[in-house]
Amino acid sequence: MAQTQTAGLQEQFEDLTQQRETSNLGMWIFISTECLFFGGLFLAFTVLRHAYPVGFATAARHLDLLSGIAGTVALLASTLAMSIGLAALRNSDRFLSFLACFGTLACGLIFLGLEGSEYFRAWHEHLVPGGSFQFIGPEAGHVQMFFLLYFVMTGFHALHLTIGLGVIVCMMLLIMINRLHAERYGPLQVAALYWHFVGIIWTLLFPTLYLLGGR
Amino acid sequence: MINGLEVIEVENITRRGSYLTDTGLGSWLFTTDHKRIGLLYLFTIIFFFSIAAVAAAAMRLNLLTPRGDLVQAETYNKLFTLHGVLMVWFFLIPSIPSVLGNFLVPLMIGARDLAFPKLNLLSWYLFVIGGLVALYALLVGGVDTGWTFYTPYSSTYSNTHVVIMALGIFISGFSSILTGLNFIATIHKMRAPGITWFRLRLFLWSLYATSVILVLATPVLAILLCLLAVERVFGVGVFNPALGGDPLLFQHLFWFYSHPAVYIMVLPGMGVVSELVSAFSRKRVFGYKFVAFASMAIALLGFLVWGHHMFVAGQSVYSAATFSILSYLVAVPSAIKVFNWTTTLYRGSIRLDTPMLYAVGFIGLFAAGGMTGLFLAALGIDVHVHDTYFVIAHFHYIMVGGMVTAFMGGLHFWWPKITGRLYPEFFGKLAAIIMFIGFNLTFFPQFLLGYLGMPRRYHAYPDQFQVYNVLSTAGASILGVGYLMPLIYLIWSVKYGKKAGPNPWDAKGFEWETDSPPPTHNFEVIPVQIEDPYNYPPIS
Amino acid sequence: MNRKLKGTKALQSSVRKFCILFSVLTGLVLVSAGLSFVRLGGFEVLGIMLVAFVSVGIIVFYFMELGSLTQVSWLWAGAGLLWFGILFVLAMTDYLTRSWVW
Repeated sequence: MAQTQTAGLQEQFEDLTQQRETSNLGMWIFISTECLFFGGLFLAFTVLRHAYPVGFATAARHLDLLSGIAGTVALLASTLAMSIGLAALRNSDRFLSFLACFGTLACGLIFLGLEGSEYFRAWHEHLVPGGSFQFIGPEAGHVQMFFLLYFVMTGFHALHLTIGLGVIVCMMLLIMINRLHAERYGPLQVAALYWHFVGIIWTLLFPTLYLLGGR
Repeated sequence: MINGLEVIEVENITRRGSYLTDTGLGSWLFTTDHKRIGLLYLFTIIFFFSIAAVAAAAMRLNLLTPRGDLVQAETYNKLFTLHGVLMVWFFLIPSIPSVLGNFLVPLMIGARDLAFPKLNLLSWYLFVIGGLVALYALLVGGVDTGWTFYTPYSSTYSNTHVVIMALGIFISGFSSILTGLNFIATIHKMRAPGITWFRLRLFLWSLYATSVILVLATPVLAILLCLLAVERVFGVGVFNPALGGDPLLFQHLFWFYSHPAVYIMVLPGMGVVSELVSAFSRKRVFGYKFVAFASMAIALLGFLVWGHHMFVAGQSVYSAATFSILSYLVAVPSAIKVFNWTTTLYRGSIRLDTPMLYAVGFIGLFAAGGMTGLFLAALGIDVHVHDTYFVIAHFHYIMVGGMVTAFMGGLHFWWPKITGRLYPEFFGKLAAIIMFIGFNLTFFPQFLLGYLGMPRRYHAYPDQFQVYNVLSTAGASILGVGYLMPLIYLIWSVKYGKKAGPNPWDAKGFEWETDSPPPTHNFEVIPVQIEDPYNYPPIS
Repeated sequence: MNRKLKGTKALQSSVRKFCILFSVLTGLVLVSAGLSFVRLGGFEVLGIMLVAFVSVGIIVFYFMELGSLTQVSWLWAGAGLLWFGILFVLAMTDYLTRSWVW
């Protein structure tokens, strides 16, 4: 019965491989859950866009395409940095891994900044749904509907991203104190999976919100 | 090389305390032991069940007279909403998965705990917080939309606390997701040596299928409730047709969750019944693979049929026809299970102990509930019985006749394992019979009421329906006695019941090989499965 | 020492792979943004979504390493996609056929 205590091994597992594979699987299951969470939003968007194509296209043209592209590229860069960070940790290069995680963090913050400025502009132009909403034109109601979905969809994405940033900060600390290393990279792998998934959501959100309906 | 930690661990094991040995409050509130978390869930759901049962009793009392003398229409609306919300999300969905599942999954697969014990505890806290938020909505005035929250009534016209109630359900939804995630990861990755997929207990197959639904359906409900709250707060139409929204979109998303959710509320029950039928006829379950795959088939097909709730709501006729045909398909795996249980009984050495009484009751009631479901899946008949008491009777046959009966059966079967004590057999049998009689008397008249045209959700009704309503209320009071009895004798047995020993039923399975109650880490040595899990000796 | 060198080599090659994929993904973003300026009678929408799905595929297979995963993770990645499809297809069946009347 007496087992050798491996550092970082939880008591319900037999070895680190089992532990890593299980938490990896857990994250994939969680990702499939998230697929359906955002799936409901995409369905709502599709149905309403199908009903009011003109209003939705009009509204989409009020989003800033350049800022959208910049944000997308920033997120892709953060995905790149995350992958480099994981590869570096597996190959015993803790310093590069730490640096790459920092890069991920920075790119994520740039994305949030760009999105924040988009929000601010929308608020300035009275495009935030609710009492302050003002839009002149026959499609005003549908434009407001678009912006409601825009804020809900990007808002939930930003929330996921913010949680991801917190996770990455924790990972950086763990790398710093040598709790994550080439033999024990499972947690960073799981964090990377989550981060990539957040990137995927944006990869779908960007064309859906900014591009469909033409500029 | 022995270090200090190891010595302490070995000493802990040799002391052989059970998982119940520690008694401090902190040892319960911060536990990550799956068995204790299962018990925490048990206490919590009994609490919510009691509140919801009181609401049901008030409704049945009110319906004794055609004029609805006890409560006003508004109060009645709040009562059935409360009953529905609490029973569905705070009793039925966590009942077998979170109580018996939490307790038994690691024991049945020979693991020391679930894959993610801390997430498991978190899910209980989320459940409690969600429940408290829902109760808060009740205390500040209640909600009158019905458990379905149909828009635009819920998003625009209702003057009650819809957003708070939605928040409570939203939070408890994450508890469901985490539980499902935990079970799936555990069943995939933590099986003891020798447990191949086809040596897995049928209870685990059914919990796996349930978890699939929990994980893939619940998020859609979560996002739907968010959209509902946003529409209500900002007054922008996503669902309200007056503002250009689409009310059917709400129903699509709602039933994408809620139809599979009714399988969350019966699949675990089917798993329990498979175990009980096998243990008490002392035979291998007939057609093991069919029963296992039927669980998975129900989990998948359950997602393809949601439109049958919307036949009269204005969806496309082509869509309705498609959903109707798909709904018939779900009957196939369900029927396979019923046939296999019945065939297992054939030439078995049957013992009619309390759990088996419940199991046999389940098979009959589930068959009745399932068959009437086919009526509702048929386009033409559904137009006649839609939103009548026929629907109420149908789903109560599945949920109360099915799931609650199975839950009671499972609770009695594994009670000796959970507490180490036997319950009094005579009172157990008596309660099972009272429950069966009370249930049928309550809900069978409702089939007739619905067929005759009494609509659901009204606090008053025409005089000609009174006879059936009186019968139903009388049945409900008998049913109430049936529920109170186990509550009393089970609590009594914790202290005064006979010691059970490891395997009082002489049943097969890893959980019966360890002590009753089990030690904290379940097994001293991880067991190995060397044969079929239901390999009972041949009956002479 | 030798082992460490080998590790550095492996690291260099995967960094190179990720950088190439990143350029591809950035290119795809620009392509889809360009597509939004042209009118192809509805086909531009198809093109934009196709580009998005290709990008998602690249991220899933290479960055999330689905190519080198155990079967179980495939199962669950696939389940998310399949159920997403169920939600969309069955719900949209209603919306797309609702106006068909005899």
